[in-house]
Formats: sequence, structure tokens, C-alpha cells
Amino acid sequence: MISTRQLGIIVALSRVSVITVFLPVITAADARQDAPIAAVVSTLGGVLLTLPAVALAVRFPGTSYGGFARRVLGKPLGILASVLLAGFFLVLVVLRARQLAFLLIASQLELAPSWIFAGTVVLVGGYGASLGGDSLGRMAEILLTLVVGSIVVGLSLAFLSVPIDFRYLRPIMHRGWGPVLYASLNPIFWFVTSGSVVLALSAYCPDHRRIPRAVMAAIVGSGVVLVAMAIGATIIFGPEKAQGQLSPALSLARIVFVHGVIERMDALLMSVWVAGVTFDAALFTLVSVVTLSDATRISPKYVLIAIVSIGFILAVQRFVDIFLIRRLVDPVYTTWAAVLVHVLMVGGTLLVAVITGRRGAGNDDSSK
Amino acid sequence: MFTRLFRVLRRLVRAKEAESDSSQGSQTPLSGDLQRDLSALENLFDRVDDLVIQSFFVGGDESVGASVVYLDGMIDAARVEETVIEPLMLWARPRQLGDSPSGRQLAGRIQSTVLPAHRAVEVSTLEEMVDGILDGDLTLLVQDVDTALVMDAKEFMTRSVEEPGADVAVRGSREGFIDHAAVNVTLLRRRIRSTRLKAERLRMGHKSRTDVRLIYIEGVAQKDVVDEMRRRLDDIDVDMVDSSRLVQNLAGDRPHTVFPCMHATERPDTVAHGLAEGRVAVFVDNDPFVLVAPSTFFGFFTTAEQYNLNFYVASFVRVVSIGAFLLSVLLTPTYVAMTTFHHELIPMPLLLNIAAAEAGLPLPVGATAFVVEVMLEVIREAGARLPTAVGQAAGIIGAVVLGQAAIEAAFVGPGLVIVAATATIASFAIPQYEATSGWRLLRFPLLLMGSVLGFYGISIAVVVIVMHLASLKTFGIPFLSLYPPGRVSELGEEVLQMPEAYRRPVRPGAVWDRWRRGEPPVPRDPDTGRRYQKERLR
Repeated sequence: MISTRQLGIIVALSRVSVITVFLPVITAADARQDAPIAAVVSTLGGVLLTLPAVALAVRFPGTSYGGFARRVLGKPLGILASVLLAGFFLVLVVLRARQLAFLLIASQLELAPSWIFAGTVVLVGGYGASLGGDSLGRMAEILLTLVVGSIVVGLSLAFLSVPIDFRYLRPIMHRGWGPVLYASLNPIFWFVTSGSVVLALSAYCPDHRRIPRAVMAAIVGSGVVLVAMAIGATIIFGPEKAQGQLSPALSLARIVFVHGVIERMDALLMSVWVAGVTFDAALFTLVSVVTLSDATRISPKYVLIAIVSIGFILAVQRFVDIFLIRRLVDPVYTTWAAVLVHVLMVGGTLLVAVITGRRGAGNDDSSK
Repeated sequence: MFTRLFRVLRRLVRAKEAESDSSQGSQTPLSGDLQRDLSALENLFDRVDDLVIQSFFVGGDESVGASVVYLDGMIDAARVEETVIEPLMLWARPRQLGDSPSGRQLAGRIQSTVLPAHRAVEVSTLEEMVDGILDGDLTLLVQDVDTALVMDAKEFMTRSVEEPGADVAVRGSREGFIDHAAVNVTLLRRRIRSTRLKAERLRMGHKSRTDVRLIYIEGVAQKDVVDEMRRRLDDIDVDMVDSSRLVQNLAGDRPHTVFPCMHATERPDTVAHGLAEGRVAVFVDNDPFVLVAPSTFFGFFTTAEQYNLNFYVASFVRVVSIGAFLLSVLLTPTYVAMTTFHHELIPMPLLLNIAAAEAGLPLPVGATAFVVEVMLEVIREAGARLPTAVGQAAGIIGAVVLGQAAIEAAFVGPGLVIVAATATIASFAIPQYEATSGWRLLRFPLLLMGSVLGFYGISIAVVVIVMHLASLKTFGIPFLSLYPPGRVSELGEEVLQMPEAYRRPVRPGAVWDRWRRGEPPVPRDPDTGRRYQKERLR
């Protein structure tokens, strides 16, 4: 069992750890000096689109999407929807693993084969998922302290180390809302995805009435971190240069050094980020396993073995980069994915549940 | 299929064992015929030459024979002679008993008039009598009495109470536990003079019949934890229990981990503090180490001595201990990762020095680090096994002379020797050395990952370790409880030693984790009526 606070921490950690990934999307999508505003818009969009998932979690306490989709949509359709949702999260695991491999090869270990990084992340994620939700909840407490601490210290050192210019943030909105909204599409997708883990983790959470507050606080809190990072990257590098960075967060860390002791801090940030991504892999694997297991009534152990095996095979393949990474950093594709998964599937399930008046029986599944 | 077959076979074997145990557990009543009972006893103690049977007549009456039975060396023979045998031989039987009193009348009168100074228990079976004899008690059999008196007259050699060897305090009590459980409980009772300090006695081991005590403060320790510990101790099914380590392994939550769910200490003040915080203690006879459970990760960085220090110093010491642990497991892998994969992190002058010193080494840095770490472990073990004076010399020769020679022979670089030596010294700075000695082993997988995959490898290994820690529970309490979820303010209380901690009825700790989560109702201190951690819960 996990508390609602732990649930919030899990959601927040999942989002904060990917900030170094989608921050470049904001800065590279022509938002320029309006990147912080794009971050605010993406946070608000994330809050709105996460609401259906939260509403379903509150309506059906003690079970995951796999459990209540069967009840709401009927057995065949419920299983199909659950398989799709589980598959979606599995794709995210693979995607994160490949992204991490790319960044590591680009920034630190140029000669290493990418499958080593991607494969180990999937396997360690599988191990984490096998430990269950309460272990991940406790791990999130530790990691969030570490991740947020490193971001705060890193930004503070960056501001102290180099000249900053707030004029880079002006003129505000001189090209209108278009570039801002376009830049915020991709982060909205990621924010919603992180928030949707509540569809599975609510099964571990006994106090379902407090779930909305915890999840919304997590989304807003991590949104603040994103805004801070966007402002930091813009006022230090300037809007043009920030757009050219593979990862502005890593570049921010790279400019920080302690003379005579350590020349680059980005390697340390990468270490913390590796921990965050691995946690994400564990979390998304767990979500897939719980959803699929509840829907098909197959033992979670066998589902986990199947999912980790498929994930490992996909993660070590290069074709994933072409078919997934290039598309999922494109706002058009991510918008469609968000609409398909979070609006049609999750929102549709909620709509059917409201129309038919179906509700969960209460928190009766204490075996989780 | 094989699993099912195996289960069926195991069930059959267990049923057979249970049947055999129940037949062994049958009791033989004493007959009242002195010769018959003595010969039954001699049969059981066949070829046990240290069994002593002294026969005499009670009150000079040849019709009333009696015998005392004991094991040589376990009682004070002179005292027994003086306080038991002599008074019985000289006893003038009171007239009220008449000429031919019943056995029970005689036994009762002897107990109340002749042996009032002895704590005696009347037993009626041969097996109970044997248990008493093996415990070091004196047993008295009287003709025509179908019961025996088992008297506590233990007087065997034990070492005196001394300062513990492994858990030394600069300021604080100088007393340490000894090998005798009863004395150890006394040391604890002197610190907690309360009727709520409960001491339950258990027998453990089919052959050793070891005396094990479960100690806790009623109303302070969680009932769930006490019940669970009692159940686990009852479930231990072995022939020999000769150390607390065995109990620690068998009663622990997860035996296959280097992180123990209970810690062992030789210090009565540490146990007293643990009990006051709501933990339970297990005393095992013949072992000076007492187990305290449940233990959490940060609890291993706390010692009773820290409560005797100024809180600034205590907090500093605790932070230093945590840093020392991190250094001991991470320093060498980080050095190897930096010199192998991440040269850009090292300032140029230092990098040039390291490169010059390590040029021409026969092995890569990672492999050399393995050799150095293993050698340091060998030196440490050699120093610990040898007598103190020789051990110190071996340590100095091993560390200094061999290290210097290895550098001069260009076998290892000086940087690596400095780093590995620092990590080893840091491992000595962790307070509960015995409990945390297994943690040192973590540096080997970390070293392997750092040598192969650099910082990425170390990060992945650390994540796996944290995941493992997060999955551990000790008596239902998370091992890695840092603070109640989301309450970062209490993280400081786990790491720092704040003055408020001295005033609370129960100090903060993950022992109360479940109460903090608001599952069961908040308990009250049984003596003061104050609620535990009330202000923290709301």
C-alpha cells in the first residue's frame, strides 16, 4: 500500500526526471523567449487532460484500469483497451531507455553500444516493478529529494557561475500564441502520461478521496520546476543558443565547475537523471503489469516476465529510434497519441461509466 | 509437477518428524521409589561422568533416604553441602508429622523448614528433573516422595562485566554484556526499573536447550512486533542455538541480504534506548551480543553514545557516519570510473599527475582496484584474527610496507592506494561495525559496474541497491523509512540529533511508521498518558 502523498511524489518524480528530455522540445519549437510561458501552458494543459484519469481512479477505488475497464466496457472491449494502455506504457519504457542511451553516447560514452544502456534500463526497471508499488513509493521519496536537490543546487551554481541576462526573456509574446501553443503540445503529452500512472497506482492507494489533490499538486509542483529550468536556460544561453542545445539542462550543468576540484557537473546530473529514468522504467513497467494482469486475470509474475522480455527485445533494436523517438518528439504525433490514449480511451471509459452509472465497490482489494 | 511432488514429499517427511517428536515428548512420572528413580536417571545420563549423586539419610532416619543430583562444576558444591545436605542430615523431624508421614507431607515440610533460602520448584516427571539438572540446578529426591525439588544453586564460571570490545564509547557507560543471559537482563533492569519491562523466557534448540529471553516494554513496544518476534522465535526449529547470529539469521525477515533487520550490540545502554523507542530485544545465553529489532537503515548510524554528546556534536557525528558509509562503498568505484571513462571531470594538473603515475601499470585501473580491495580485506581479516599486538603489526606491515612496495614496483598507482585506503578507513567509521560489516561487500559490484560502464554503471548499481533497500521490511516496518511520506522536516530528525528528541516520550523513528500513516489509532504512553508524536501526526 502507498499513501496519497507517496502517489503524488511518484507522479512528480516521473515528471521532473523527464524535464531534461522535453525541455529542449520547448526551446527548440520556436517558442524562443516565450519558452517559460510554454512551460506554464503545458502545465495547465497537463492538469486538464489528467482529470479523466484521476476521476476514474476516484470512481473505482482499489483496482486498476484493467479491472474497471472490464466492468465498464465489457470483457472483450475492456481487455482490448487494457492491452492498448499497457502497450502504450511499454512503448514509453522502451522510448525512455533509447533516449537515455542516445544522451549517454552523445555526452559521455561515445564508443559504447547503445543496447547496453537501453537493455540494462529495461531489466532494472523490471526488477523495480517486481518489488511492487509500495517499494516504488519509498524509492520515490529518496529520489525526489535527490533530483530536486540536484536541480536546485545545479541552477543556483549556474546562476552564480555565469552572467545572466533577463533581457533574453523579452519581448514577451511578440509573435502571438501560435509558437507558444505549438511548443507546449509535446510537454502536455508527457505531463499527461506521467499523471496517468494513477490509473494503475490507485489500486495501491487506500485513501482514494485524496488522490486528486495529491496528483494535481504533483503536476503543478513539477510544472514550477519546468518553468524554472526554461527560465534558467533562456536567461543564461539566450533564446537562439538554447534552441541549439541537445539538452539545455545538461548544458547548464556543464558550465558549472569547481575550479581545481571538478571540471564538469553534467556527469553528476546525468547520474541523477539515470536514476530518474530507471525509476520511470520501473514505474511504467509496473503500470503495464498491473493493468494487464487485472484485465486478463493472469498472474502478475507471468505478465511481468512477458513484458520485460518484449521490452528488452524492443529496447536493444535500433529501428525503435526511427519509428518511435523521431515521431514522439514531433508535436503532431504526440498530440495524436495524447488524444488517442488519454482522451478517447481514458475519457471514453469515464464517459461510459458516468452514463451507465457504474462505480467501484470500494477498497476491497487489499492483496495488492 | 516436480514442485508439487517435492511439496508432497516434504509434507510426508514433516509428518513423520512430528510423529517422532510427539513420541519423544512423552513424560515419565517419578515413582517415589528412590532407587528406581535414580537408576532411571543414571540410564539417561549413561557415560556422563560429571553427574554427581550424593545419597544420605534425612534426620539420621535410615528409612528416609534422600539423594541430591547435580552436574559437577555447575553449582557451588561447598554451599550445597552447607545449606542443603547438612541441614537435612541433622533435621529433627517435627512431632506433628507423626512416625510415618506421607511423602507429600514430608516434602512440603522439608521445603518450608529446611530449605527456605533456596528457590525451589517441585517437579513430578523425570524429564523436568533432567531439564533442571542440565540447567545447572540442584535436584533433591527423597524416599517415598513422588516429586523432586529442583533448586537454583547455579554457580558456574562467568567473566565479569567489562567494557565491550566492539562498541566503545568515549563518554557513557563502561558496562558491556557478558555471556550469561540472566546477568545481562539484570544489567538492563538497572537501567529500566519498571514493571512494564517484560522478560519472556524461551527454550531453543532440541539439543542445546538454550535459554533465550524476549525483552520489551509493555505499552511502548508495538504489540504486533512483539507477537511477531515471539512467533518467529517459537518457529526456530534447530538442534543447536549457540549464538545470537543464528537467531538473527533464522528470525530475520530476509536472510539473503547484507542489510540486517535487527542489530546486535554489547552495550546495555544501547538496548535500553532501543526498548524505550519501542523496539524489542532478544538475549541469547552464551552470547554477549543482544539483538534489537526492528532496525532501520538510519538506525545503524545511531549509537547510545550520541545521546551523551552535545547535540551539535552528535548531529555532526551522525552526518559524518553517513558520509563515511557512502565513501566506503562509492569512493573507489568513482575513482575508477573517472580515471577510466570521465577524464574530463578531473582538473588537468591532477589528471596529468594521475596519468604519469599510472603509465605502465600491468593491469587496467579497474582490475588493479579489485586486487587492492581484496588485499585490503585480507589484511583486515588477518589483523582481526591474530592476537592484538601481532594483529596491529600485521596490519601496519600489510598496509604500509606492502602498499609502498607495490607503488615502487609500479604495480599500482599512488592515487588508487590513497583512495582504497581512505575507503577502508571510512568503513571503520560506521558506528555499528558488526552489523554493517556486510555492507562493505557492496563496493565490489559497484566497482565492477564502474569499471565497465563508468558513472552510468555506478548509477544503475546504486538504483538497484536503493530498490532492494526500499523493498526490505523489518517486522512489517519499511527498512528505508526516512520520514513519513512528504514530511521532509522529519528527514532532519532521522539524520540530525535535535534537542527536541530528548523531550519526547518516544523518540522519532520508523518504528512508529504505521501510526504516523494513521492506520491504527495513535497510542498513549502508558505511564504519562501523553500521545506519541501527536503533533507530528496531524
